[in-house]
Amino acid sequence: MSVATVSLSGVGKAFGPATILHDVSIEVAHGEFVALVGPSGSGKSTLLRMIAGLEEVTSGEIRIDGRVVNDVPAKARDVAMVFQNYALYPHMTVAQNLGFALRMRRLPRAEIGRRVGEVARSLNLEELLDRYPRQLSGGERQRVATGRAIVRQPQVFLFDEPLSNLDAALRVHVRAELRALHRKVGVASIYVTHDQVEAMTMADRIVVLRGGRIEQIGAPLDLYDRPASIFVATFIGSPAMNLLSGIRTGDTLVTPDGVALPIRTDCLGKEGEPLTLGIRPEHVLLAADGVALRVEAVEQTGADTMIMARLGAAEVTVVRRERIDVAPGAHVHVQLPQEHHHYFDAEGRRLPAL
Amino acid sequence: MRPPHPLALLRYAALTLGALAMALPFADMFLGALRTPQELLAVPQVYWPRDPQWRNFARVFDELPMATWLANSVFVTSAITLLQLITSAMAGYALAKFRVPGTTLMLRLVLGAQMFPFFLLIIPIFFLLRFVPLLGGNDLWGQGGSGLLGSYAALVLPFAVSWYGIFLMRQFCLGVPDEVIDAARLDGAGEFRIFLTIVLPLIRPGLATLGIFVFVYHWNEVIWTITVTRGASGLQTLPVGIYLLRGAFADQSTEALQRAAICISVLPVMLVFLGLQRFYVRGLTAGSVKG
Ligand SMILES: Nc1ncnc2c1ncn2[C@@H]1O[C@H](COP(=O)(O)OP(=O)(O)O)[C@@H](O)[C@H]1O
Ligand SMILES: [Mg+2]
Repeated sequence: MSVATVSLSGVGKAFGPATILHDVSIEVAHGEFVALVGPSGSGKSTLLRMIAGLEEVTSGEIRIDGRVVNDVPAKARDVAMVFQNYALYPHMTVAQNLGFALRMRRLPRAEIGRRVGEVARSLNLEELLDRYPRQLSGGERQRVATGRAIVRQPQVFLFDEPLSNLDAALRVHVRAELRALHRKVGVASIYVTHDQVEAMTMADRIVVLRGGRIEQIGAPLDLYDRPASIFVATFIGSPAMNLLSGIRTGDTLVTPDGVALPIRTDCLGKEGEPLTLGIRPEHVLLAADGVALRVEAVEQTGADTMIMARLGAAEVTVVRRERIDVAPGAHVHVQLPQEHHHYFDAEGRRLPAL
Repeated sequence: MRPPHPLALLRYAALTLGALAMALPFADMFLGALRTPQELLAVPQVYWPRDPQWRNFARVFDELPMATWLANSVFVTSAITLLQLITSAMAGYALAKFRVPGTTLMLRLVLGAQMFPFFLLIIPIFFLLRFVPLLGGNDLWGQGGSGLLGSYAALVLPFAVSWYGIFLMRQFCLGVPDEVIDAARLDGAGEFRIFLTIVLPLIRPGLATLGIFVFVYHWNEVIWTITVTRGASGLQTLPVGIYLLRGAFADQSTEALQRAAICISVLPVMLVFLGLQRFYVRGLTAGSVKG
């Protein structure tokens, strides 16, 4: 059986003449944590707001727990959302903020007090219950916003870039907290972020959105290992995948600079047509002979060495987990192991290697 | 203690001058209310009353329909203020936060309304009230009676809505973050409840500012009130009563009473201002709501 908690089928959205979302279909299972990633303006917030009931659905169907909710108002959808700027009620104390949804449902006072206390304890907010939002730090506001969402015990959690206003160190910390919280509460969650690290580390599955269309859906490592397009290949993973474009000529890829790179014999790229070879920075091997690169910059993090180099016009990044003594201007030789090749056609679509 | 900065001294001097310029006429009015008729008639006039006539304040209530005037003024002004706060907050919120077709047009109309000063509208509104169908003895065609003239409705209704109030409240509503309203929707609040429990508290400085403006303006309103209370003296308000007093008893012996009445008429405005100034000052400085 297992009805998906949230199910979008063929969902589209237009603001007047501008179509923002095209034919989006996603299923979020019970207890699943799905990250929605994509560049700014790709329609992530709009999609989230449609699920929440804050934007109308232009086409397609949204179901929550099997029920079509296209025409159900936000207040009746049993969905909670954490906003990017937290959107706490400025004139209410933390306790009142946490209890607002419960008051709207006319729960008995004692019950409200009990649940607010419980949430405050689990999020370490007990000390702050009588403060107003303006008296809280960024991290504390974030926790209150999260608390306000979980106190209702909703069917679905929506997060719209909830960590983007926190500093880097706090973000790592809160990321782990949210993940632990999700494991404990086990409610279907959709988490919007433009930070691929956040998506990779937190999500069960990632949905990559580009220009209002779904580019790929999959588990984080699937997206990393088998990106469906150049867009996903460069969006997921940091530093980004190296891309070498050229023309397929026999069992080689010939770059505009005339360098012939051997490719796999089972590569589906057509003879004489444009082809892009992708390879992740950590898969590039330094060797005594092979393709010669000119080093442009070197970054040592202590554990890793990152070499930014050029092959003709193309940039190639190499990351090795060792100390490498090389200076900008020098040449290095690299091998591009074929088992780590990704191939993309002229439209940037992945060519399935047989 | 550091000696004050010369600029600060200058600022205090200017403020003191301003305060004196505001306060002196009141003090003069107050002294006048305490003079005896003999002191008023003496030549030259006695400026400092030697025997302050505190009784003048009580006599105002005994000898003039002061209580009626005061009650009318308080009722009419409060009703206008309350109605304007309600209509302005609702319309301002709608114009600020709801994307409905025609919003821009309505906003233009609201702003366009400012081109018509009220005295241009006195005659049309007078006839609207006079010939309103089925009320005040009128038939379906507005004939036969006197319509709403000479009723509290005539004093209050024309001022129930104001373009200024709508525009001011819209500005304050724009300062309420959209996400806060959305969060309340997700928390299960209906639209009217959001207006009451989220929007109204957040625009309270704006409401206080508008409340003070409207109250002071309409407390002192004379022209319209005279126009529609002609022949209905029971509806006269304080400023109209005092104004007509001058014509009625041109003799100077009642001047102290007139002055006492004026002093009393200032009191409610001062009370309203003192009660609301906390929000009012904040409203002027903030202008918007901080998240
Ligand atoms: N209310 C709206 N009216 C018109 N266009 C909008 C509206 N809301 C969002 N958009 C447009 O929709 C696109 C997607 O926006 P958004 O969902 O906020 O993207 P993201 O959250 O991925 O950055 C943007 O081009 C934006 O300008
Ligand atoms: Mg967004």
